Amino acid sequence: MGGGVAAPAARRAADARGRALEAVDVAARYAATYGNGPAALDGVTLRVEPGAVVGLIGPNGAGKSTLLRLFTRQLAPASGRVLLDGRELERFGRFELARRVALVSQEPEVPVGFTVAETVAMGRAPHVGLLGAPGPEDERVVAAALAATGMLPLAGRRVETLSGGERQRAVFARALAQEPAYLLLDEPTNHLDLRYQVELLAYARAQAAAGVGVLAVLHDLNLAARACDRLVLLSAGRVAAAGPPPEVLRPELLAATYRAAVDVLTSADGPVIVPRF
Amino acid sequence: MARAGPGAGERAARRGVGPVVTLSLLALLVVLAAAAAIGSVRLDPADLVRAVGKVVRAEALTPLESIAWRIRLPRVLLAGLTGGGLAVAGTLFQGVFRNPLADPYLIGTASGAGFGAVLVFTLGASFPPLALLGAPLVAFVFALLTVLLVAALASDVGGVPTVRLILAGVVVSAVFTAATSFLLVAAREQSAGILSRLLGGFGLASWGDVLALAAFTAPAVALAVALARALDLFQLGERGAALLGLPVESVKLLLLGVASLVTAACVSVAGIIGFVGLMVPHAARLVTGPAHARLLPVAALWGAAFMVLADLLARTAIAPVEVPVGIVTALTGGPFFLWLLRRARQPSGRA
Repeated sequence: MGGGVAAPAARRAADARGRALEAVDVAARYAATYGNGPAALDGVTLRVEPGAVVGLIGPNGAGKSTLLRLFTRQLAPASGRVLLDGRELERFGRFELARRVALVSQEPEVPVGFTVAETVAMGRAPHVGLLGAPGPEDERVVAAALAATGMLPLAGRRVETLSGGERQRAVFARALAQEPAYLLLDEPTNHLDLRYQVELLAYARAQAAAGVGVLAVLHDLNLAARACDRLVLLSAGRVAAAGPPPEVLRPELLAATYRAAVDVLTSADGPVIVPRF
Repeated sequence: MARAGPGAGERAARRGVGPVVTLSLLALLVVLAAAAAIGSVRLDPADLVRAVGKVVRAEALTPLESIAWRIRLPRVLLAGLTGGGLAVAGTLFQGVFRNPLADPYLIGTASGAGFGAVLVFTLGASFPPLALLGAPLVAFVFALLTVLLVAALASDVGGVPTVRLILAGVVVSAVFTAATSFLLVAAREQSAGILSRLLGGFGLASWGDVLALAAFTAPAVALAVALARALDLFQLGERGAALLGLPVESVKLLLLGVASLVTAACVSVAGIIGFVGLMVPHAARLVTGPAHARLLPVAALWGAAFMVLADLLARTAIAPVEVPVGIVTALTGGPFFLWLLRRARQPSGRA
């Protein structure tokens, strides 16, 4: 890098020696045909360290999903850099990347007819390779992923017979079977009732405690405040605020970003957001 | 008890797919022997064994043994290879497109292959390079072109919807059928022979056909089985498969290529036979579950047995007249297709 004109964000990233999944001053653009697609990004810098739970919040169309697409290489940045442990994302092999970064998508397709155990075992694909066969180690990891998500009793059930919450847990278990260093969650609690929402984020926190870096797109600000160590507030493709929940969840900031008036109450466990009518 | 309940039972049933393969193989052998023995001249299964033994020892055959060796055995084996090949091709198309109605016949691959083969039969004499490539290869090129064209026409953002795939297949198929008819009309004196070949049947089966078809299908099926796990990943959607590191586009092209190659080889030797590739994978899936490592071998064996029986019915039902075997498969497959179409209206796998 070097050069006196490097952006401060880029310089910080270059200095950081630690492992992280990071976007450095990235811009992203969709082709014109994607008129209704997610918004583009502009100069976004964001960093997820191992062991941290980072919440990505912001109004619809702010670019949250786009950022996840950059981190999973479904989209290439128009400018800026996406780094995985200091190395450009595009320099990773496909399977190599899938062994390090797992995404729990918003509305994943369910492989009809497969059992929960078989679906979760598909998460071993990046370890097994194209023509390989799974071994005892793969079976052990699959069993551990099922256990970590409470899915062992349902291991033999066909996935399409599961309830919404159970499906989401199965998809989460598949992501765990990838044994990723970074776990990305795209609105994982969407359509789930309170119990499953809390449960899923508890699983994510448990992963972080085991050293996985978690980046979660969340709509529910209160859930985000409780579950995340840090929040990044995106607004129209830019980072409007980043930091611990109390620093980001400020009424004037939220009102400006979401164009909705809110009250932020303070509880012992952090901020509580209440919409104002 | 985590292992209790119907789930554990289902798992156990699926793990024990080895016996299914063994039983299917035994059943196929019985079907092959029975079908080879039955016909206008009834043979004893012992004749079949004796005929093979004598050919191996290069001894002279009795007339009955000669029928067994030169007519019946190639015929049942060719039917078996064709049925197995089409069932595998159907399984691959259904898997790649995640579409229960995909079939070499319905999505137009067979018509494309038929056009390619007829192109060689009619123009091969006046245009030697075509003849040099041979009917199976030219058929393969057109089969692959057809499937890529149909997939491109039918694909929507995020997948290939069931009905669009079939519609695109029917239209492309109609175009190729029209082009084939044009070639046949233009070919005049040859056309009757080519047409009867295209209509589907094993009446002209020879050991050369058997070996040629085996040479195309065996490696293709082996490759398909090797890629069975990748095919499983397609069931997560192409995006889901890519997120697990699968090189989706190359694997898709490879699998469609394998399915097209098998289809083309079958069409070149046996004409256009519909619905086998549709029905057999569904039936096999009921026993093996959807995982392709187990499904593909069982579908191949069942497809083989089904086609041998269909051919037996075709040549014995109103003997001495031989019904084109495609009529038998269409009469059984048509209603099955309609039943599937109704079922496909119910909520599918999208979460």
